[in-house]
Amino acid sequence: MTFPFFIILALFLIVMQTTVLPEISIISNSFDLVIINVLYVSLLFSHPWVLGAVAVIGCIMDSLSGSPFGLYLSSYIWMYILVQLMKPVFFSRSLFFLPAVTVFSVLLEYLFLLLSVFISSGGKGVLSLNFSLMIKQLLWAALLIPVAVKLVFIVHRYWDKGCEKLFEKRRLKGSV
Amino acid sequence: MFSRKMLLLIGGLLFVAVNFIMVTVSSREAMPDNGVERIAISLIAPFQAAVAHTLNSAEKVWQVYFCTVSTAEENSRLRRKLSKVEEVNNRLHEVELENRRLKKLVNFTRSVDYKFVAAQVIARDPTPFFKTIMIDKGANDDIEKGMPVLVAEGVVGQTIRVAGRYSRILLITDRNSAVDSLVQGSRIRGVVKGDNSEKCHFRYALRKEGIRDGDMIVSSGFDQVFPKGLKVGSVVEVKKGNSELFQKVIVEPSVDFDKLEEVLVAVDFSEPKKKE
Repeated sequence: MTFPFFIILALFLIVMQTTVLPEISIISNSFDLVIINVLYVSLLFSHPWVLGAVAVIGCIMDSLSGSPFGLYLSSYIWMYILVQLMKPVFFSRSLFFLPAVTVFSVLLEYLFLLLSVFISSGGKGVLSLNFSLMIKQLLWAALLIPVAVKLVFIVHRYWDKGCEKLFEKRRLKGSV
Repeated sequence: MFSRKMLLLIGGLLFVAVNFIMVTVSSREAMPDNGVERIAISLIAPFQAAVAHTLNSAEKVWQVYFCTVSTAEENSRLRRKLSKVEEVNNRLHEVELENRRLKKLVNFTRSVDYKFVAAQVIARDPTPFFKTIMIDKGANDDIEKGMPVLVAEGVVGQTIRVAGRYSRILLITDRNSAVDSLVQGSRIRGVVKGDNSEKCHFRYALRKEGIRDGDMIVSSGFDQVFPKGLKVGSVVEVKKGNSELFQKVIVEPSVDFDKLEEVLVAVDFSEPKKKE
């Protein structure tokens, strides 16, 4: 039941990011919400299918954005790798683990952004980037993404329970 | 002396006569007040008053209760009605606004000889570091990559990715965008480039050229993407560095990209469209 949950969550976050939030002026420049999903699945699973799922979502984001193709794909794959590398080093239930992973992930995305802008527009293009917005996004992300990931954990638990109940009911109906 | 029957008859007649006299006299209000009446009234009236008050109070309570119940029902009914009316009103307001915008677009399409496809903006770029929008028309509607996107106010951008029913538009404010342009009055040529902010830059205008605040910048048509003469924006700032070849001209786009809802994709602007 994790896969449909992952798809629905990704869809929800993408729609929020591209359609809902831009209409709300005070949060129109929010950080990349899909990082929540990427971190969530990366933290929860180490299975290879997660890498595939993360790659798919990266491709979708690249298609929806005006960014050069591969920016999100690379960022998300590296986020997955980063989480897998950090998991054994840090105690994953530590209070600081999630914020640390979040900050590193957002920085990773910025690194790819800077790289792509540098390649396309040179040093001038990089300097013209809105760094204050980046810092704001980073701070908000460090504050909100860990909370959001925890929230997703809870929602997923309820989702699993709901699905189990549903299947149980259907099984009972079938047996009757 | 009198038989029993006779006595009864006399008594009956006497009663009728007294009764008749009494009714006649009291009817003419000629009968004096008597104590019996007053006593009777004094005794009975308090009970009558009490019962009457009770009945009145009960009636009032009953009426108030029913009134409250019916008012509450009416209130909730009216509230529901009001919310529906508000919803309809809001919808009508939206339709009116949409109508105004579409009228503007229709007037614009009539004013130029291009073939347009009207589209609705459905999403914006997920990151603020790139300026693109998504529209609900694509290859199925004859849209191809590199087509100009316009509104009545001016140039919006160009299509960069086209799917079956959707397309992505690169706005002129994106750093990867460039529109070959002219200063409308003086015909000074340059390139309007975005820098991911609300403003654009009019590049490659020589330092000696006289560009002033408020000058209108229009597309030149030389880039083979945007038709000639479309509004791009107006000059808001001119800076001339001593040692620089070109002047720095900042342009405010004529389109408010934050409020963009409908756009026109010029699918064919090389040939005049057929007028009926």
